[in-house]
Amino acid sequence: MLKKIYVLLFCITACTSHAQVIHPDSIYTVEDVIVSSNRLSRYTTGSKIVELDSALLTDKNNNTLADLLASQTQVFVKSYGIAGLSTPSFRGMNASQTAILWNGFNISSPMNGGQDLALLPINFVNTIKLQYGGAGALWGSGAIGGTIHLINTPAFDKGFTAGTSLSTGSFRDQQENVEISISKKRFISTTKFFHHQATNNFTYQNLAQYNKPEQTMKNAEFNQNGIIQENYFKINTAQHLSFRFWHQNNNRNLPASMTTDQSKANQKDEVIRSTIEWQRLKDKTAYFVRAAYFDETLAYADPQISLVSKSQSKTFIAEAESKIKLTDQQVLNIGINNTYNTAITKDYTFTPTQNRTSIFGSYQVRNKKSTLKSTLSARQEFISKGANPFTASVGAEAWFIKNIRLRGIVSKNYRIPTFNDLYWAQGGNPNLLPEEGWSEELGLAYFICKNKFSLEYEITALNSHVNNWIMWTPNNVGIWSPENIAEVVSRGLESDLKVHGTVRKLNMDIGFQYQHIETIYEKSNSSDQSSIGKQLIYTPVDKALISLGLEYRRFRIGGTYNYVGYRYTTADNVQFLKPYQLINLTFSKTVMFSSLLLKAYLQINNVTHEVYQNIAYYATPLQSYQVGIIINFNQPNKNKLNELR
Amino acid sequence: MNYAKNNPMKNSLLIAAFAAITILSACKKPTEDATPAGQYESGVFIVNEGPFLSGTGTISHYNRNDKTATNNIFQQANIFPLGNIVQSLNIFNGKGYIVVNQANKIEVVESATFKYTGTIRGLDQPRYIVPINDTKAYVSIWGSDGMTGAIKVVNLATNSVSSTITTGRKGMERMVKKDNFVYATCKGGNGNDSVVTIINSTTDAVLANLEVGPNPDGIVKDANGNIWVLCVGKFKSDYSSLAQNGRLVKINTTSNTVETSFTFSSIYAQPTGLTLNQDKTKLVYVYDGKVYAQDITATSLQSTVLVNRSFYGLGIDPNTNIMYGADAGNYSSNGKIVRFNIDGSKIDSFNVGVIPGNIFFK
Repeated sequence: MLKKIYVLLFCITACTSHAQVIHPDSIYTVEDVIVSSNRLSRYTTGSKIVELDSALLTDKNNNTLADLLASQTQVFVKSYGIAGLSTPSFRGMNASQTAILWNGFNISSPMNGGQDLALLPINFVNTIKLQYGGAGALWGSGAIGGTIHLINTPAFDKGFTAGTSLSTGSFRDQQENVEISISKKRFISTTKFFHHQATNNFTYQNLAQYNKPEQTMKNAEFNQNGIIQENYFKINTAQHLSFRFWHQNNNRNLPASMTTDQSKANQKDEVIRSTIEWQRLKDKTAYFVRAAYFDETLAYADPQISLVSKSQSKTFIAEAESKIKLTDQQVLNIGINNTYNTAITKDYTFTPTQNRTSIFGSYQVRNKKSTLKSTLSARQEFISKGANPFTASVGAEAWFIKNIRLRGIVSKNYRIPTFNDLYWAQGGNPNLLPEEGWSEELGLAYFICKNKFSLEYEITALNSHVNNWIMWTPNNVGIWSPENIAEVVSRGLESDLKVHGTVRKLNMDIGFQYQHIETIYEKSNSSDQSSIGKQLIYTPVDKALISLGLEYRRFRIGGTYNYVGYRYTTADNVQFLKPYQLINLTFSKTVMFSSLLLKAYLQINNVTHEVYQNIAYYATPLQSYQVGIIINFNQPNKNKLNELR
Repeated sequence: MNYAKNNPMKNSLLIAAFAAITILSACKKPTEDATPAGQYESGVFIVNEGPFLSGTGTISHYNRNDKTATNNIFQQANIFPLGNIVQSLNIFNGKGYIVVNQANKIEVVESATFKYTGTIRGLDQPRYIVPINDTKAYVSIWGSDGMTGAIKVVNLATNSVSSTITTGRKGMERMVKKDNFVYATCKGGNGNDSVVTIINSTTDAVLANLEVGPNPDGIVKDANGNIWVLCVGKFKSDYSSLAQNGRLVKINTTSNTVETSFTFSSIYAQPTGLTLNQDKTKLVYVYDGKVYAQDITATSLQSTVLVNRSFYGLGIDPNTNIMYGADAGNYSSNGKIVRFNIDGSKIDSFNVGVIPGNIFFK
């Protein structure tokens, strides 16, 4: 049994998109499994969706989402130092223009509109999908540049599983994970704990001092602890109930840049995320009712500026949707979402609340052979204070001569101002409008799918327009305040190649991804026009990723090469950071016994000792390593054993 | 015979070869630092704070004669950058002292070439430096928490801190020396304060903390030897408006008392950028989006608008009486300096570094 799972896990599913075309009949992709993100599985027609390889997720088990996205995807991750604030940028857009969804719930902070990727452990989720481009009609505010889907996928009747993974690495990095899972025919309980800490006392050359002395990184320690509990109940063949609870606390010091003398800053975060969901899946209809409660506290202290800032935000989300199979070729999805946010902090003059109600719908139609598909989606949101944004999208995909696929999507997207934008004292601007704009993209893909060889190549052209872009600038009396200032256009090309081949017992995967995307200030309302026609700061135009995986008798070598092009550091593009290239390697060996899986791995980061800066004058480590061991024990259920016999 | 014939030929070949080499070697380094020695002997120096967070500030130099600006002169001369938030510059005794606030240091350079000669460390959030004599200078600091202002006494011979004058006040900022006394504004640092600290520069003893008004920042000495202080005002705790408005205060340096105090009317706008014209008879400052001028003999706040716009920094060249306004633009691009005649008529402008603030004339 375990072997089967293992094989499934490590089998590269290069032909998945094709497979979906061949078996389109059920309204859920895989029968009898809880649908973790209903709209993602069906209504994203025309969008580019990249699922992170599951082999990769196990290899990077003891990393954060920030490390994973930076090294293994084309998402640009902006990081303030080794464990500092890390935010994603899809296609030139910023962190608050990226939606981060956990099982369909938007976990972006109502205060700053984002999530720190350095605080999201990979081992707490099973599947990570990246949806590129605008999807505002599906996911609401923030889904402009892209959407990160973090998904927990339960599997019934797998028996008892206990696992642990332990790792240690450079700069006193150590992590322990423990997982205990009981999976019966109608009930699952999974508990995972993790603890991760590091001192990050690496040496670097200080380029901002006379004679460029070697120094040791200080005040970069962190300590994280988390627990996630998942429970799933199968009420009957059609109905499921699920509960998820995630608690995590993080304590980290924030290091200084090379141009400042020292830092004593510290940040403590604590987060609780809990969700409940009921689903009823039938042949012609499916109903989903779900709710979530998120509570995030943040305490930031910087003794050098006598600053102690505490804040707490709370989010309640309630959502219901239903999927109706109108005919064999038509599906309709309608739903309603209510999101309530509040935040308590001395940085605002009062305690703001916000209630947002959205109604959304999608309609999909396809031809009999499923070689033509189109989805129309729309969403109307009503915000208690402020605008009522309407968004819509239409996407389509068509297959020609079995192995050529053309897809495209046009979407209207938006991002509502954050609480900080609206209410920060001093400077918050309660009159801000949402950022909004249109995105268009077209992708042409070519597939070869043979017995021992598969190839997938896609080229995507994209164009995106954002109006009312929010920026903080000083007003005429010198107070910094956000305004709907700019109009930003992002356009470019993405090229993705994926090859999989098997020669005897050697499995080989090769990936090559390249993007050239210009993100430009087209217009600005401000008197200062120095940034017009210029590339946004900290947004690389060129980015490339080559990945290679070789596996022979459960011995695996994985390697990635990342190229990040020039990034400007001033809005007039006068100052910039040079491109950098990073090579990471992972070696792992897995051993299987009847019910036991053992895996040992070695990860080497920045193999070539590249000296680079992601943010100006923030030091980054040279070569570093992590070694780890994963132990997994599985005892199948008794009835299952009988069945097998 | 042959000799006579061949000689000119050989010569011309040699000349051609020599010329080629000269041209080649000239081509090799087209942008190589053509800095003539002592290029920064005189001129206007603009202190560019640099981008927030992790960036580096720069110094720009403006040559009054050929009206050209050279940016980033420190890094050009020394390869490494200055560091985060370059606050101020002072030039004396043939040396330039560049105060880098977040890097907790002062970089010392040869003033004529801006070549690095040393670093003064042991300064927590330094702001400004004034010379006391050939071997001694005062550096105002905000302290490691931005709430414990002090004066650091610096030994210029060794580029080190020799002692600390603790004042118990917050946010020691700009200083003016008159006779044997240094007047230092206490801007509040990361909090609020309201005094000018008067220090005997011979004994380093604090003579008095004179109450002047909310968060004093700018300080100048006029033609009559009186000292003027610009208090920027104090915000309410929720920053909705000013709890105490800005003030322009005159200190009688004979009695060391406040002689005159004018209060600004706006509960939002803070006056900044106090400076003096060439003959030190007019106070010039930025307030509520405009540049104002005020006679030192006026008995109330005058509403003489010189320029109908705001500047992040302001300076008047004591040699030419030309006004330099620092425009920080969007605060994340290179800024510019706009030059005006003292009557407010615009002359021209030139580009400098990111967030130009203080301006030093030499």
